[in-house]
Amino acid sequence: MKNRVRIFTLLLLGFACFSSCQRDANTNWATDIVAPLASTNLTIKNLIKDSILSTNSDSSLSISYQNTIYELNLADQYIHIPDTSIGKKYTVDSLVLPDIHLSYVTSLGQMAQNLISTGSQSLLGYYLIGHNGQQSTIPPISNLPVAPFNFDASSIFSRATLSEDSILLYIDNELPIPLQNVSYELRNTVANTVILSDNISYLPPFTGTYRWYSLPGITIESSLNLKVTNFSSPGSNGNLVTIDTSNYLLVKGYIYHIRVDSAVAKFASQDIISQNQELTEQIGERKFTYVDAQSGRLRVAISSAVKQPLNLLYKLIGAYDKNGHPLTATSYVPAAVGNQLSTVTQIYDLSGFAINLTGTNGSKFNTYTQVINAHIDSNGVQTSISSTDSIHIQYFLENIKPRYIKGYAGRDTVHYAGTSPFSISSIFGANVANALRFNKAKLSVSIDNGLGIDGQVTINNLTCINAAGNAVSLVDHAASPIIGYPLYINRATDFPLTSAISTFTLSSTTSNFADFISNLPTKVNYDVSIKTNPGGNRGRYDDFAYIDSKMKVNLNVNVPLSLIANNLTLMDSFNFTLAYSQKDVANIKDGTLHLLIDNKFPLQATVTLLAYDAGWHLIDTLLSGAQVSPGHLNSSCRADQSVRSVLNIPASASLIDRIRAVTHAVLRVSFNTSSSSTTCNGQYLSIYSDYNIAAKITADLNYKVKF
Amino acid sequence: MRYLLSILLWIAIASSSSAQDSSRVVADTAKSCNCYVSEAPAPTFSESHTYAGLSPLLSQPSGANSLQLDVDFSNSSNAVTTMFAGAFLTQSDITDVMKNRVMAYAPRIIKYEDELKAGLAYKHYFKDRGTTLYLSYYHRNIRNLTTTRDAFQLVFFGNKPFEGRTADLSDIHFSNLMYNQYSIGLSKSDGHFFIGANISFLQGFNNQQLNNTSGGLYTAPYGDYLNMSYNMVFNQATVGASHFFDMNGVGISGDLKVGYSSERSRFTFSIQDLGAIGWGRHPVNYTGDTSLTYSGFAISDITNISGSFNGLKLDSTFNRLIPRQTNNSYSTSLPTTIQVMYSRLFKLKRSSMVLTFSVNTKLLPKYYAYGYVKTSFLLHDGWSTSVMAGGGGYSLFDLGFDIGRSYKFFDFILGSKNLIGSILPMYYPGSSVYARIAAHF
Repeated sequence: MKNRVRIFTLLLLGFACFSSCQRDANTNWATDIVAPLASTNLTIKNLIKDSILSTNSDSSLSISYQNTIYELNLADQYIHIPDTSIGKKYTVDSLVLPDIHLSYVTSLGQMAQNLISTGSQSLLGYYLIGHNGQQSTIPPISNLPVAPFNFDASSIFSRATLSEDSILLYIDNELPIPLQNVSYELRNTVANTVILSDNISYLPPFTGTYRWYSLPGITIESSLNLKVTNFSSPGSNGNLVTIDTSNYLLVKGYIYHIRVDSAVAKFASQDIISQNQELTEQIGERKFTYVDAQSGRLRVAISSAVKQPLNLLYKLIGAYDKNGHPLTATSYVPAAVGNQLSTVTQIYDLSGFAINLTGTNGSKFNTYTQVINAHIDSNGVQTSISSTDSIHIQYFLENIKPRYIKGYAGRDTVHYAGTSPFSISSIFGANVANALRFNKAKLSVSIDNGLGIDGQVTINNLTCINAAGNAVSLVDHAASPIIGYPLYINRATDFPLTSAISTFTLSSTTSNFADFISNLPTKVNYDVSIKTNPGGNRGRYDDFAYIDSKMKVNLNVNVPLSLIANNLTLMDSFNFTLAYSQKDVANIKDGTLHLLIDNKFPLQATVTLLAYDAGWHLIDTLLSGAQVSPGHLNSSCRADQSVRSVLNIPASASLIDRIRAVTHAVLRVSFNTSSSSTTCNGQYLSIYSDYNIAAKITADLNYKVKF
Repeated sequence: MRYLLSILLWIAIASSSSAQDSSRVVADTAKSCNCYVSEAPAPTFSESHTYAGLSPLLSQPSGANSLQLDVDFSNSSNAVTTMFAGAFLTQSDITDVMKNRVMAYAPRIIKYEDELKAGLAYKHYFKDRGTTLYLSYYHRNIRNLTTTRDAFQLVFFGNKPFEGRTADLSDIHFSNLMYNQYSIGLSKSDGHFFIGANISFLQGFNNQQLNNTSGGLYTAPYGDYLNMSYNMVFNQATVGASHFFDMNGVGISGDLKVGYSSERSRFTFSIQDLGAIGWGRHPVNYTGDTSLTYSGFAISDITNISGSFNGLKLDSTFNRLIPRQTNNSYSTSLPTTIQVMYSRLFKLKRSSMVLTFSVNTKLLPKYYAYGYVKTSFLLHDGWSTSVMAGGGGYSLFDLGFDIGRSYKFFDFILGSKNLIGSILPMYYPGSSVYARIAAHF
């Protein structure tokens, strides 16, 4: 039994031993893998922007490159309206008081009583009373006294000094006898000063008469005393007249149009200032008739010494917003207290307002027409207001940015010099002059005038500079050269705005433009003078400009891609890693990278590929002077089929190891138009739309597979 | 360290290889007596190197109880050398010499199979009923592969040899099946006729199977472009490693053996591993019927290629080739073996000899038939030995040998069905080692 147990135990242990065996490593073996890594297709459109490339009828290509070397925003300069302010001190020039009505009546009966009371003519008084209602004669009467009439206007004003007024007195004789030497007077009751006094020598019975008076400078009190101081009558001259004691003598007084220099009064609601003014700005030689404000504001600053609240109204005549509403600014100004001025500031947005600048009569320039009105409301409180009280109103037209102006823009000459980028393709940037020569290149200068202003442009100098710093100045020997001579340009037309484009062509036969463009410029230096309204003011005032109107000076280059390349070099750097993961790279033992190039361009290329580490230290030269054959040229020097070139990059184990550190690569390709065709060598070769380079990088790697 | 582990693994396999045939018969006297034999064990012979040991049920017990440990590893191929297979299976470097040797053998279709079977079996003999009860546990790892020579060359040599031509990737079938088998069975014999059957519960924990019915890879000169086509189904029981007792699949299988024995002859017919495993827990499927051309990472603008190369990576390149993924359940049929065998006993002067002829087939792609002849010598001192010669199936030519010894309470057998590949693993395909230790009590 012991043996059986021992055997059983051994079997179990052996089985456990076997079952515990595990594998944790990787099988690996070497393989030769050939695979494409990356491919690309290069056409001329990859090198030159499609927008400037055009295909001719024979499928050859041309570059039509336009570059604005200078862009002048003349509008910003010429329709600039400086800030202006309009300030004025206004005095209370039309302070008026309410009309005053006076009325004085005395009847024949009252006169009889007065006669009785005089004693000397009491008999006559009794006679008149005794013959009331009877036909009788009336004897002469002299120095008939009349009781005075007192008028109290204290509820209206307490004192006023008149600056302008009209006093009308109406004397109505409703007695049956004529009156002689009717004397009357108007006095200030308190001061007992005579305001006016007059005499009517004869007034027939049952008739009336009017008298007008103007008394500027007179101070009147609220209590006035109107009195007929004396009159007499010749009586009825023996004729029988009906004696009626109710007959009367009436004196009516009307004081109206009472303008006062100062008064302590309850002023009625009235405009105390109302003025219409023009303000003309001087903006150099420019004479604008109209401005359409894109933005801007009206700021009103008011200080008032008037001791009554004011409502101010400001109107800019001829200014309307886009909905046709006039520019009206209202301001409420509180009453001044004591010597403390009342001040108010208000701001109004002028955006979108169109403003007529021709003044009231429409014949002026740069002229704002404004109306200012100051109004007081009756508040039932007596207030002291003097014509010397003033309101100072300052109007600021600020930040007026016109969207549009019209008028005469003046004459100006501006001179600009600067540098502008100029490159038909950035890939040519690294080349020296004449690395690429073009056949039959053309240049024109077009000036795009977006302003309604006549102009004159002079291109004083145009010099191109390539990446190496080599400069070529454009020289024009034509009879009508475009370099160094004034070029007259037309004005734009309005409604709708249409720019005037003036084009001036440079002949390659009379200029050095071929050298200019073969310099493969990256930028141009320009020196341009622009003169506006060279003919001066023609009196039409039809210049116009929009805020975004521009004048552009464009260089238009037309280059048929018929070229000779002489070591034309394209160079670019790019990030590069042979494989994405370290694991992949580590599994590569060695191999060869193949660069398969199918070239249809008639350009022979020499390729150099340099590998750098992250610090831009050269790791290795992967390709040096590798040759890429040009496309096959037919008898017409046109490539009719691609030619494949295989560039091999041996990747030894050591190189693979070093390449793991590569993060950047620099590709330099040098092109030449030399070919195996003796007919075509040295000729300008056209580039056609079907030319391309199909490039592919493949790997032939000894790759260690781990499984 | 890896190398050491590989050596240890080989030692483990060699020291524990399964018995090719664990059946023991009483050669002469016990031919019709299934009773317990108390005398020294009779000479033994291997009954079938192809399935014997896989089912101890098929042997007859020599005691009331027996417990045996079987370990059997074998691989067969018409081209894949033992060293190559060993390097691949033991995660070692595969050298160019190994690959070239395989290519030297390789016909258009390369076939390969291997199997590791190890486990314990217990049998109890009810002598009053002439019935044997059988209980066992076995770990099974079965792999088989048929592939074109081009596919093998593509995988292990790369596609450079195929520049300008197409590598044939059709008719590729691969299966890796790992499961634990728990069996119970009964057998009965009346002295002439015998029948045995068992049923097994299969705990599948890993499986991969690939079937690519058609396909190819064209490699343009210089690798200008690749044109690949395939029509494949790849099933996987789970993603990543699986544990020994994970139950990622469940299945049932059965074995059946019937036979007739006379005094000097025996004829048997057997079916083993008839069953399937369904994988439904974490299945992953990849299917695709695609033809595509790859020309490399396209750089749209050569004048602005900074950044274009940043995304260039080999793995992403081939990610494009991956077919669509699903997670549908699937099943795997076991490589069922059907065998017929005839044995004849010859009595010699001091020993006995058993001559066995066998033909079998497996339900594997392009397996057809395997046949062998085996001569076993049963010595009176308890030793036994046998030699065999066979061919067909996935093999070229097999020459086997084993030796065994019986003691009072236990016996063992150690052998190989393919000595050539085992002794010259660098030069010949296929190998085998098996061992069995049995205790009787």
